[in-house]
Amino acid sequence: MTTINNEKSSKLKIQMKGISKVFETEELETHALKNIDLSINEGDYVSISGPSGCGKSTLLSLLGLLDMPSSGQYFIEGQDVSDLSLDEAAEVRNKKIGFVFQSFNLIDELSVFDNVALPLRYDVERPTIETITKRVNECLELVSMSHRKSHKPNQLSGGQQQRIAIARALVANPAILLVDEPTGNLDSKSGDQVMDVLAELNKNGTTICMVTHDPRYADMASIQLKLLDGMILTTPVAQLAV
Amino acid sequence: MSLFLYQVKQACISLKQKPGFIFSVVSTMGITLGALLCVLTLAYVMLVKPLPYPEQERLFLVESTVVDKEGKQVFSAFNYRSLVNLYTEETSFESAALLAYGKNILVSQPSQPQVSTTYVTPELFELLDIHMAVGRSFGLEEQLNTYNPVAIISYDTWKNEFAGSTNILDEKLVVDNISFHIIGVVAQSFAEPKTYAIKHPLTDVWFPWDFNYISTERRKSSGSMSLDTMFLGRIVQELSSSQVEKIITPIVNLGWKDMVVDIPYFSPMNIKMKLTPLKNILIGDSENLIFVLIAGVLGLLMIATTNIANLFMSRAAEQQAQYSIHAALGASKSKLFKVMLTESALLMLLSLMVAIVVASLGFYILSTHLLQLLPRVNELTFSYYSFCVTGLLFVGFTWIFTKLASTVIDYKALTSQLQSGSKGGSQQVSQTKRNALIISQISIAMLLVFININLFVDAWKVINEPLNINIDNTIHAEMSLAPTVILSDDEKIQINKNIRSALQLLPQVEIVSLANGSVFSGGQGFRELRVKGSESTYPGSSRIVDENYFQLYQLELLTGDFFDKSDISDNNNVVIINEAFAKEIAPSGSAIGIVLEFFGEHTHTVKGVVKDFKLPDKLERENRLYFPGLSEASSLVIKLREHNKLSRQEFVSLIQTVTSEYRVQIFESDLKQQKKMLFIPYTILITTGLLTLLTFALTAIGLYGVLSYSTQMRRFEIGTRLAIGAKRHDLIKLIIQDNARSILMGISVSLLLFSLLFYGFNEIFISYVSWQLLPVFVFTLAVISTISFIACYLPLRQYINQPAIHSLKGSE
Repeated sequence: MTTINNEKSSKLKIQMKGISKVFETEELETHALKNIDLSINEGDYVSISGPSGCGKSTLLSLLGLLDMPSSGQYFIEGQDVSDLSLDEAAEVRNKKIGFVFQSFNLIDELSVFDNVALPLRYDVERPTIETITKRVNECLELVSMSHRKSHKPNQLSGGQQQRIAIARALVANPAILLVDEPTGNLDSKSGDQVMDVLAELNKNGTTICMVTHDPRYADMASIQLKLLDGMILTTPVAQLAV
Repeated sequence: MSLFLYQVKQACISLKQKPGFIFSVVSTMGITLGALLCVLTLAYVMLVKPLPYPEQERLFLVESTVVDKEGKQVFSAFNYRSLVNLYTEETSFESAALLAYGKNILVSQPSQPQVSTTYVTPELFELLDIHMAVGRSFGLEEQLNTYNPVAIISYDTWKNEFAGSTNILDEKLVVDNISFHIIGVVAQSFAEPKTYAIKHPLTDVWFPWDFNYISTERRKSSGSMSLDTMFLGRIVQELSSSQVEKIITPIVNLGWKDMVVDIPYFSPMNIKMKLTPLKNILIGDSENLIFVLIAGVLGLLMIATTNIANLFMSRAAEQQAQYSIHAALGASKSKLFKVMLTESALLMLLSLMVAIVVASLGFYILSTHLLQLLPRVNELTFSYYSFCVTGLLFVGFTWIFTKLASTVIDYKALTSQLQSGSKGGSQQVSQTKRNALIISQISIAMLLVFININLFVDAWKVINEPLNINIDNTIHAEMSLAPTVILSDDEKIQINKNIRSALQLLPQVEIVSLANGSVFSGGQGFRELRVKGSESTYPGSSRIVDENYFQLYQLELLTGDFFDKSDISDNNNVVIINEAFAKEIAPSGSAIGIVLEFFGEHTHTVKGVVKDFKLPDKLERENRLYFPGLSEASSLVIKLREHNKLSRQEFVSLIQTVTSEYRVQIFESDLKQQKKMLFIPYTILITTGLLTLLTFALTAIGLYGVLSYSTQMRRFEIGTRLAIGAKRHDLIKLIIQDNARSILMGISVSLLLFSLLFYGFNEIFISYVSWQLLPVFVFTLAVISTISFIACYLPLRQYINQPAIHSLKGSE
């Protein structure tokens, strides 16, 4: 079992127990993840790296409830989310998880403001327009993109688009930010800027779990996990492996 | 291998990967182009193609119309003597033939079938260029007044009644106690002029004119006018039809005036001759119908074309990776166009092969089932014209689909795509095009479905409108006198009564009524029917019935009384009228006791009022009058007990036990007769029903195609929305909302088209516009909306019913 005890805080945000994922086809059974135990505390900055096909993206999908595990238990802020219906999973994603994708995944037809506001529009509590405006402005401020809120995504550079994606991931005050190769589609300068934003956010208390194959960026995380053949290989020295 | 063959081979290989695409294109275009080919060939045969008779433009049907003092047409019929005189003496015609239609029983055949017969003079065979399969046609031996007992049979009669016997020329036919020697069989290729105006079925047997059904007395009579006789002639080349009319009118009129000088009714009247081209007679008023058919099929074709255009464009977008490789390897824009053109041509070739099968099937159905409704359908074949249309459709649609598909491909972007290795910027069918496809689908479908449902509902109403009489187990039978038999009216009435009594003794018979004519026939019409003391005259039709008639048909009595036995036996001067007529003559009070006057001579007092009953093929209820009595017309109605049967053979045997003077002409259940009368509404019902279903199916496929493509294009967007917390209903709402504008636009365009049609064809549509259209419109709207909703939902299902990761795969 891999437990990460971050010294900044002891509040458990994410806990996975014996999580496995098997992809089955008629001829083949692929064990993408094998018996993963993982805990992430509030304020952690975790990076997951490993070679292609080691299961990084699968793990991130399970963490983000984009897919369901084949076995094992998964808790987010103490809530068992191992076996949710599609709509229940959507609600948890909306409230507790913020996604940042490699290819930004912004919606071209919507303005920057509306892209960022989108998670709030899916919130079951239906926040008021004032609340939405306030929160969106705050998040745009956090990524220094307030001046671009009326633009359309295709009017922005890749780095700017990724910052907007980060603002969108933050807007619903999630328990954790799941970041998938945030610099994969960016030049190094823009990539560095995006990583700076993430580091700043973590410094201010945001819990981040990032998948990357770039060792330079993986090192920026306080906790670095390495995956190989569906299993976690190493844990940081500072943390306790049981 | 030549480049062309190489391209064809490549196109085949490429298409083989997409059997669903081939099936959609070939089935959709095959069926619709088949329907179009069928309708266009029909239009060509009906409206353009010359009649298949020599010098058909000079063939005219001569009509004899009786006009009153003011020149107003009273009726149209020939006096027999005038007709024969015209035939023998007139020189304005190069050649002319007399025709009389009839129905006879072939007593020489074991089943004694009723056949449709035509009595003709020999010239008809030359006028219509009738070829013989066997034997000879009528000639000098069958000229007027030769009384040569010979007959010519149709090809079908030869096959069906004589099993195609090779010794057919040794066979005889016995009709009306006369034995006719068969001298010929008409060739199968002969297309008999089957007219809409003349509701006579195709001829089974031709007899020489001399044997026609008109009795010797009527042939000599001055006042007798015959409705079923015709004069067909080819006018001389130097004269126009109006010149011929001017020449023959005074000749016929003067002769007729001389004959009717002693008949007061006819003496103030005149005869006017009218020549109508045979072609016009054949077409009748079917021209509108063919245009409606063409419009309907074009509508379907537009929906189908939209569907398939979308498929072609989606496929082009899908093929872009391949095209970019071709472009990178040096394929020019025109070469790529040729690749697409070859694929389209192959698909259109397959579609048109299916279309030819569909059209041939259509020709068969039209010529076997719709001969009553459409003229010249027996001439429908896959002609040179049809092949030309097929060729044009091939070229046209191949070009249209290739052109549309090529608009999706931006050649410049293609070439740069491989160079840059860009993952993004893939080419798509633009949103504007997709919206245009949705709008056109919805608007055409709305228009077609709305019109079709209206026609369907109208036909349904006509078919299901209660008759107000009970025709379960009722049979109408009519007998005629055997040839050479002459009986007085009293003798006929006595025989009729004996037949009634004999029938009444049969265990399966519940009740028998003597009444002149079928319940569905018009009965005898009136020109001089008025309420005594009043000036205004009323139209109406009458029949003579016995006391069992109303009970047999369970015709409800509203006021007054039915006839009693004495009314019948004493021929009392009473009358029973229907509700519609009662309301007309006594709008606020009772009609009982009102005295009606006929021809200013006879008077009858209204004894009872019965409920209206509607003829199956008439929209309006007409005034009906029932007189008490026993008619000399040998016509009766039999009501059988439930679950009992009476065959024609049993009936014929029974008649023979009562009298040897009668031949059974008609023996038919009222239900069958009703069905025959409802043939046109049934045809409309089936056609519009099928057209509506086809429209729904094509629209559903089309909308699904467009929306499925559109949803597929939005897969990553859907995945992203799911990832940030959108629930399934949020996405369903989103897709519906996004397409609602196009759908609403489509509905608006259809309303606009309605308005344009309404203002353009006001006279046709004005009678249709009423509040009753509202439920039809709402229904159409509901169905189209449901189809649209389903078309929005189904493609989305694959994304929203699976974990979100499936939609996001490959997004990086």
